[in-house]
Amino acid sequence: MRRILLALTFSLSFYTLCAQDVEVYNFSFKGQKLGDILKEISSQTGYKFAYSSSELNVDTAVTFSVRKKAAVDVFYLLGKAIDCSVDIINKTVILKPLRLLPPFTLRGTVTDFSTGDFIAGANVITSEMKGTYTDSAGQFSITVRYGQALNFSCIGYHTLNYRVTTDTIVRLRLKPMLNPIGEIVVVAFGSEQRNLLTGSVSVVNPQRFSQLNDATVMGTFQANLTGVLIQHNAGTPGSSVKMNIRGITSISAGNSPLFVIDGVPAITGNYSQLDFSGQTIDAISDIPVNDIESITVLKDASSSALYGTRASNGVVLVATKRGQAIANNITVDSYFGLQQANRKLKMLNATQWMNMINEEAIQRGDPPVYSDEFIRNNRVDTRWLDEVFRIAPIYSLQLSFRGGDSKSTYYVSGNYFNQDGIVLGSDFSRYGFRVNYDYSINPKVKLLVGNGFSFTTNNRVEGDQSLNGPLPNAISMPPIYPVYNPDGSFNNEGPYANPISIAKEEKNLAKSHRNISNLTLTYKPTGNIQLNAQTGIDYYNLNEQTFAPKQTRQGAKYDGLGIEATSNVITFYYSSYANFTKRWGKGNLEVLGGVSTERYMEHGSYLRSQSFPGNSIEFLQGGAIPVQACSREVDALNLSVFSRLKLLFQNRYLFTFNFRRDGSSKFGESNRFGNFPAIAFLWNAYDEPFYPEHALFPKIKLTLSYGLTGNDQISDFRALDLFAPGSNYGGSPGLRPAQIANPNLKWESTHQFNSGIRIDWLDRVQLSADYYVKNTFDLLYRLPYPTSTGFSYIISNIGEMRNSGFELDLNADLLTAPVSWNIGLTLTMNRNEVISLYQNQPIRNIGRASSSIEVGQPLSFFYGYKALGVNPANGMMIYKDLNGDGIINDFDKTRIGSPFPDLFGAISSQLTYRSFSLNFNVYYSLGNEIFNATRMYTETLSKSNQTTAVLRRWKQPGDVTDVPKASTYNKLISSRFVEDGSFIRLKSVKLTYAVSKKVLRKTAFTDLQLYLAGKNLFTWTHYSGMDPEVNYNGENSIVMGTDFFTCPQPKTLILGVCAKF
Amino acid sequence: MRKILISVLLIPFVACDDWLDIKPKNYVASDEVFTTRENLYAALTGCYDALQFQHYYGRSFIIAGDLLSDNSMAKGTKIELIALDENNLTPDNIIVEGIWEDIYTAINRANYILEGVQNVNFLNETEKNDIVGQLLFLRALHYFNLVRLYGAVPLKLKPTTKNNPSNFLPRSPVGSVYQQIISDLDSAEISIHNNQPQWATGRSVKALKALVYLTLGDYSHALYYTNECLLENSYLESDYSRLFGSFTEPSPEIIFYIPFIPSDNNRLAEYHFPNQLGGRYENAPKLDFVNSLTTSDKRKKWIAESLSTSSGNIYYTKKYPNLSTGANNVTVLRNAELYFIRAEALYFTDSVAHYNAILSDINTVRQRAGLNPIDSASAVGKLWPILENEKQLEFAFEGKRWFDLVRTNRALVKIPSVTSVNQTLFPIPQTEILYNPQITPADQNPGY
Repeated sequence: MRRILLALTFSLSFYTLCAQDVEVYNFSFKGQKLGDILKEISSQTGYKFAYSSSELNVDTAVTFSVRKKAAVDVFYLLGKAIDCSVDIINKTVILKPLRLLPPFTLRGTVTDFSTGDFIAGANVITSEMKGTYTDSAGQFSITVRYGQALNFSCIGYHTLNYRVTTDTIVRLRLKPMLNPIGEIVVVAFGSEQRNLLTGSVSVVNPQRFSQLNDATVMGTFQANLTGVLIQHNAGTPGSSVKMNIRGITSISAGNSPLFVIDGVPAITGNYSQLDFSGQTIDAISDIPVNDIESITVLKDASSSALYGTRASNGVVLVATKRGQAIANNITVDSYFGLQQANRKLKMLNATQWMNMINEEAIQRGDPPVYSDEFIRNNRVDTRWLDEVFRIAPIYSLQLSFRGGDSKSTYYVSGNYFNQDGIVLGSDFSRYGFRVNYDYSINPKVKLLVGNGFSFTTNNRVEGDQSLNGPLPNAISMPPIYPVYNPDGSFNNEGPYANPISIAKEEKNLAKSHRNISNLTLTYKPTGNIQLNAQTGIDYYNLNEQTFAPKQTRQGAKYDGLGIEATSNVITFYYSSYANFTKRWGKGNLEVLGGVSTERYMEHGSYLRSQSFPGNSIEFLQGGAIPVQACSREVDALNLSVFSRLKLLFQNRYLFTFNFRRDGSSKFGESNRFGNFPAIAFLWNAYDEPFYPEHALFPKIKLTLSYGLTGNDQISDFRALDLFAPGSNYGGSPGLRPAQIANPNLKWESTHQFNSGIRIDWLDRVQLSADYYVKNTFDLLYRLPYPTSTGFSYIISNIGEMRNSGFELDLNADLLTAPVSWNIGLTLTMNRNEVISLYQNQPIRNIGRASSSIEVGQPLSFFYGYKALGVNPANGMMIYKDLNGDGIINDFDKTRIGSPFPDLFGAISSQLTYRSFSLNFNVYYSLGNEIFNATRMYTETLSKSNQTTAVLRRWKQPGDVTDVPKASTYNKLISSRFVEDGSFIRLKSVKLTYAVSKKVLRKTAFTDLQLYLAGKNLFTWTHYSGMDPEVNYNGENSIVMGTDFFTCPQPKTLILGVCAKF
Repeated sequence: MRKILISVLLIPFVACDDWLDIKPKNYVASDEVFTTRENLYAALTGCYDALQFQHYYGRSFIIAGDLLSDNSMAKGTKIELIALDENNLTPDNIIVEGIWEDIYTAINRANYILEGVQNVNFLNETEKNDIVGQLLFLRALHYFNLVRLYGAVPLKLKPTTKNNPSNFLPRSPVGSVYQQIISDLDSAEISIHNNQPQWATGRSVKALKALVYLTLGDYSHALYYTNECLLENSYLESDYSRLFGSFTEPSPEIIFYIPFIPSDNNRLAEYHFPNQLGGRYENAPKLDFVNSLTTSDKRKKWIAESLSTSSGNIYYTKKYPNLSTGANNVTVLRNAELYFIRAEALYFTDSVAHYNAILSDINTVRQRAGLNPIDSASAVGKLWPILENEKQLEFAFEGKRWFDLVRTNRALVKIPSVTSVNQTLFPIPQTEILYNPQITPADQNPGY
């Protein structure tokens, strides 16, 4: 039939070309009945219309107009207007509605709009949800009817809707989405269309920042999520990264968000039992970054309320890659890079140091320590920082298989990642293996299975607070000591342990195994009901081995020291929930209801032995004196019921109501259960009839939400009256009162309000802005107790805190073809304020910056004296006497700085021209201050090595300088050590060359990309320390922005390749 | 199929509230502590364990006793210890806070068991009194240490079990505290049956009483109790390694000591050893004190062992000699001190009439140290300095010098950095003033 039509069309146009003097007609009909139109045309042209009245409704109103067209043209145009095929036989025009035409096979190719390359694996779906995929040559074939709507979509591209015409072969071009977030977003217990998100959600697609893997998941995505402050605590490989979503909400309970991987809450946090002075490791480091498909961060109450008491700090939903129904394809992803310290502290050399020591001695009235002759003849001038920092490699290799058919799909991957630390003695490596398998048992029942196993090895070095870390010792060690003695052994005459010896001779190994398994069963008995059962097990085993042989300084103290600690954590999760959807003309209703339970089991053991034979036996079997043997176990259980109601009305009003009731074993009997409701509203303003239709007018959506979430991250059993073991004496076992019981203990609650606007202009510019207010009350709090009671605190729910802020996310495709250029900007402003504390008593002296918590101030600001400078007359610091009483004491202490940035975010840009693409990402943080506690030891003229700042120290009356003379009075905690930590950092730059598909067609590859990238290449800051993104104590969520001999992040140069075949 | 699926989905509804009642595996419920004999004695052990706290006899209390005085100087990095050396204390000083907190924690443990043991039904009267007696001795020791350091302190005699305003007490006058101490020791004296010196013994009660009375200036009682003790046992150990270190068989000279073993150790050695040997060198003998030691003094190498370094000789104490294991026992009371208590009590009663007796006690201790006795002629007019010095030599680095100087009003004379009598008392810790509604800044000790 098609061919006849085509032929007819062809011949007709030829006919019209040839026949010059044919009669022409004008018609103009507006909303008139078809029957009347046909009569009119028939009478004017003299042709008769033939049709079946059961097929063609002649009462429909039709608008149709033609000018100066020949009769045959009129008929064909009329046919188009009423969706009918036109057959002209003699003087009769036969009309047949096209939709009644039999289905036919539509064939086509799908290509990339800008590069012209074929797109394999694109979805082709009809309105009846039947569909297919394009093959490796981008081709597809599908049975369709005329007029049917087809939807073409592919990750990384804008979706294309195509209405089937009479064409049987088509070529469709999809526009690449330069900020490919995707149309379907993973949300709590399901997924949602992006344009129907009512909550405040940030989404990351790893493709945008691919191949610049940090060791940790969150480190890789820093700065591209509004509202989320991700900060590296230090540059130590594998170390934990601080992540706060919309501010810090808790003082005593945890502040890290809940991580959910493939629907199963995952184990996160530091399970190390060794004190590495604040540089902690995080279980989340075990998740290989390359396996991640998408990350959704749920920020407000409405999006996260379904996680109840786990949700106050936000929720991060991680979805791993799954299979696709295409022919098997293999991806190989590999990169190699070198890292180096960005900036090192400038320390004194041997002569400068000896002169300083001599001068200090003379000032004290003692004779000089080093004679002039000694100083002249001294040949030893060790640059310890150069010895301890090194150029360190980083590399990664991933191999993955993906494929499947309409019944089952799979994703299998293996990966290896290794990062040596820029500080000698530290490194981190990870092996991972994942299998994700989706299987449709029958059209109604589907099974999703996933298992990820990873194994990491982390060689750690002690951080700052002990005098036994390579970096702090290298900073502090005077330069007159050599690294090696003439006989090759390590020189250990200095005041601190030889840092190279620590790095090379001491072992601090942390090995972890992790296995996350999940199983989901979905059953769709009818089209609008879906039943789901989901179960998962997350198993994490951390084993730590430490050995300091007796020839090291640390080991000598104990005649050889060995420690072995193991932590085993298992969480078991089960949930079952049902969805029910009901559609009717103007809207649809979706109801979800379910239950879930989670069991947490942790077991730890710790062994320590001393007195080892030399360095040959590293394991505790060689230890002659067992000094400590400890083991313990903790269990917790959580039960909950949840439901969600979504009502979409007229496709532009969306109401969501969430509710969860949670019960936890952690809380007192009277407060075990809590209720967490949330509501949200979304208005697609652009869908309103009054909304200007013009394409140039931006599409606007408004959203509001309000709800309640909880935080249960406290240690267990705080509610009970207990005695603890371990208070042993003289070899006899002892028990002691453990805590003051608080049976009324309950979780912290946060009320959150969010308002947002989403603007989309021409599909080219997307702007999203949110304003939120979070009020946290019933703060779990170590209510300070006077120690005369025998306790220093009792855990209570007292206190209130508020976080409010503004987030902006702008994404624009400035150019699309032939050069495509996309820029993105994120901006977050979060203001934190403590609203009330118990009797408004401040909490002081937290951490090395003497951080303080006080009503009316942001949480954890630096508290100390205001330094006014150095007195030229005597070289002593002048502190401001705030109360004017002539004495400098506690009453003169005040706020001297805050680690919170006023503003932070990122600017990113991606530029593509043909085979080349350049992208960069700049991270900025403005207004944050840093307490440089390192300077309290390197700028205060002690016997350790000092920075070159001391060369300008005060020496005699009249000297005007900023470095005072040596005295404990001059190194009190004051604004002398508070610095502006604002910085702008070029986090990543990447130049990619993609080999053209035409060239690749001759090879086995379907995709081949080579790239050169750099990380942290430039940092602009006034900060005098090694890295403005610093926090020496990652353990404590309250201590922020404090530098204490902390390892800086490296700058890295990477070369990589990504190939698909 | 459908039935299986639906039943799978309904599993969690079967769960009940009881599942959330998880019992802790690493703790014992407090009511269970008083239901079995084993638990009760373990709780009693826990009260002794409190003596081992890091800011109590485990380290800071001992160091403070020398660092505040003219015995030693701070050579390490801890600013709170430097402040002690300079006698420049502030209410937020870590040691000031720490000692207070650790002693009160110890008091609370004792109060808890004292209260609970009253209602126990599986002990006979003798056993009960024995336990009560030991606890009263401990509590008296704690309050004695507190009152000497801080002056008037809250007198807490009931345990803290709930959040209740009755937990907060005001400072009790020094006299009331001493009254309680004496009363506790009086009760303890007759009821303790134990005689191993790492636990409280009748003898330790009497020895402590002697020291308490000496401090109060009640010399007749002091003499009475000292004589009672010395009559029972006046042994002076000749092998110093049985007095310091990790001895497992305590010398008969020891009246009360706190044992430390490798798996229950302290950091005293670490804080006294020099950096070159792996220590922190926070508390080092003063050079003039070292120079005053005679070579023939057997105690010299315990008080000031020398180490030669590139910048000359440095000195450190080896009374806590085990660095690698941290197993360094701490002696609280030993016979030698009783000799000095007697000598001092006699001196202040009548230094002329008892001249010979005083000198005899001093010489007994001197001779044990391998030194020649001082003859009575050369000591005329110098008896007090001799007594003071000999005690200093005998108890250097055992945390006693400060208390001796303060008790005898000699702190201002002997310690250059003590210029006011205000410095002879510690300030009340800042956290106590902040969080105890019954103690206000106005209640702070003078000068702070």
